[in-house]
Amino acid sequence: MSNKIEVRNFSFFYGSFQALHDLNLDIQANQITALIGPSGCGKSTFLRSLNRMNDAIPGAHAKGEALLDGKNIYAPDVDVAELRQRIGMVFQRPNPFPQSVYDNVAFGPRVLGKPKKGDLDQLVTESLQNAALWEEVKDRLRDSALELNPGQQQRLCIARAIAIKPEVILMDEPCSALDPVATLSVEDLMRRLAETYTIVIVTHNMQQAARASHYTGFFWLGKLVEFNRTNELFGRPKDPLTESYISGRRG
Amino acid sequence: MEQTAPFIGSRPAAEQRHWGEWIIEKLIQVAGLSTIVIIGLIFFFLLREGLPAFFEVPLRTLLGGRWYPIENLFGLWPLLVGSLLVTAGAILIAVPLGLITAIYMGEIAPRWQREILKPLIEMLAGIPSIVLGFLGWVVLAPLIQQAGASTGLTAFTGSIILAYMSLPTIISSSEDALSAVPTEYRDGALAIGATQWQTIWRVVVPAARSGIVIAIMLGIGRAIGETMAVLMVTGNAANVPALGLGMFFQPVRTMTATIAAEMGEVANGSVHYHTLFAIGILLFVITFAINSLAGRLVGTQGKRRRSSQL
Ligand SMILES: Nc1ncnc2c1ncn2[C@@H]1O[C@H](COP(=O)(O)OP(=O)(O)O)[C@@H](O)[C@H]1O
Ligand SMILES: [Mg+2]
Repeated sequence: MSNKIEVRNFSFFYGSFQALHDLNLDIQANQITALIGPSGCGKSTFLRSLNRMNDAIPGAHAKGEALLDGKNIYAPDVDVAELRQRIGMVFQRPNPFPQSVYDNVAFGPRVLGKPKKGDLDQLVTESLQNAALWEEVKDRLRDSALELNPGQQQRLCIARAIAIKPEVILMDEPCSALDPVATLSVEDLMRRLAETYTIVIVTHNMQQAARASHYTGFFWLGKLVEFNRTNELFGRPKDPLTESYISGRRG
Repeated sequence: MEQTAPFIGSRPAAEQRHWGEWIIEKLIQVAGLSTIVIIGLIFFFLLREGLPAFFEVPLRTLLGGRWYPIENLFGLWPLLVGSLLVTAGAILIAVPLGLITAIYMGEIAPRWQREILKPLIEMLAGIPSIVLGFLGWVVLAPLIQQAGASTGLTAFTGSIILAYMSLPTIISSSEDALSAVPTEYRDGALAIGATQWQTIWRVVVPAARSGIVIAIMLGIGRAIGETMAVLMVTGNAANVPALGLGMFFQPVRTMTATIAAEMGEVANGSVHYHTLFAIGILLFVITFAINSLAGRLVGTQGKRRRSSQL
């Protein structure tokens, strides 16, 4: 078991407002790490700061370190586009581009270079297969991605993210816009993807965290209250705050 | 409704309302119908004054390359070519420039620059076209002559002036189209490692395509019907320039400028007079074609977008 991302004394600020307080945790390679906690406690902020999606917000800045394979994500010589090619992201609301299914998946590879047509076809097929979407869309590759249903759109976004073969995939409440059946299929998919990728998922659904993840972190008001193996955290929470939250008395 | 009350005096309130409504309805009807009637009359007048030209002037002459009204030569070809050259040049300048400016303003410029640029562009839209024509004559034409053209009053000079006339429309409408693109699309591209330029070029601009097409059509619409500024700076020579890049740097005469310049001196009902109206018909047909083409493009894209939301 190795650490893919090591977070050390990490704080994050929106201007003068401190959204994250002195976080310390290790995200294991090829594991699913879930982040839970009430709304507004900083889960999205943390997730987005791992691939620097917060950079564009005026006044936002980080303190401390987040190391990807030992190298600080916030080091001055880091190329943000390259970083995001290694740490991809899937959002809460499915956001396929208003282009064809094929072009959506081919977007990343095309941005990275000029793939040959045959290679690209191969890559698109593979990514759709790995995202468990191939069977449903193989005859609709030229149709607009906006014509897919929300569950399919979200898996398309996952296919789009894995087409550039990232190392880490961040998912911010990827199932909250989906129905229960689509949710289960995305969870299924996550488990299979964890064989290849490191996955960090934010969820407000505790059953989902308990079902689908190996590690769980519990956030509260910008602090990481508890971080442990999922079965430990849900089975024998150490912090009384965690206990009351997971037993549904708070949040 | 209150205003109609004094005229109706003692009637019960319900009936007053009824009357007020009836009057308003009729007023709207008359206004609407009169617009249609007037447009119909304009069209009828245009046809009545212009169509005779097609019988009075031999078709060979009309399609010919010589416009010398004094010698009864009414070739429309040079005027058509003049208009096309000036408009095409304007489009070639205005579309890339307008699009790039809109992208810069909407996607790249920091807020404070945007707040300076926006009113500036609105101000450019407010400059009367005759003033632009004047500037073209006084400033631009000498520059173009210095650059090596035989005269400064060329199709290219007209194109630049027209381009600047249509730029505000193109910029502000394209910027609206760009800013209507959801942030989620940008995030989706950035989050998997696209640079800002790749995001703009491969996601944002294609997503705003239909709005940008409308913006360009609106800009062209403004350019093609423009008269006075073009009259001032294009040299007014009804020649058909030889094919090649050089044709942009020769004097031309557009259809609109011809009508404006010669209408004052023709005898009412003469062949020359009828031919000027025939040019008007031609302009009308071209503008109508462009508008319906734009409508078609926008219509199909709108339909596609609607169906994809289901
Ligand atoms: N762009 C922003 N600017 C300022 N404050 C923000 C911004 N985004 C989030 N916040 C604040 O940061 C805190 C954490 O938000 P967030 O990370 O979205 O929480 P969560 O995802 O757990 O619901 C909240 O108090 C929120 O108001
Ligand atoms: Mg959130």
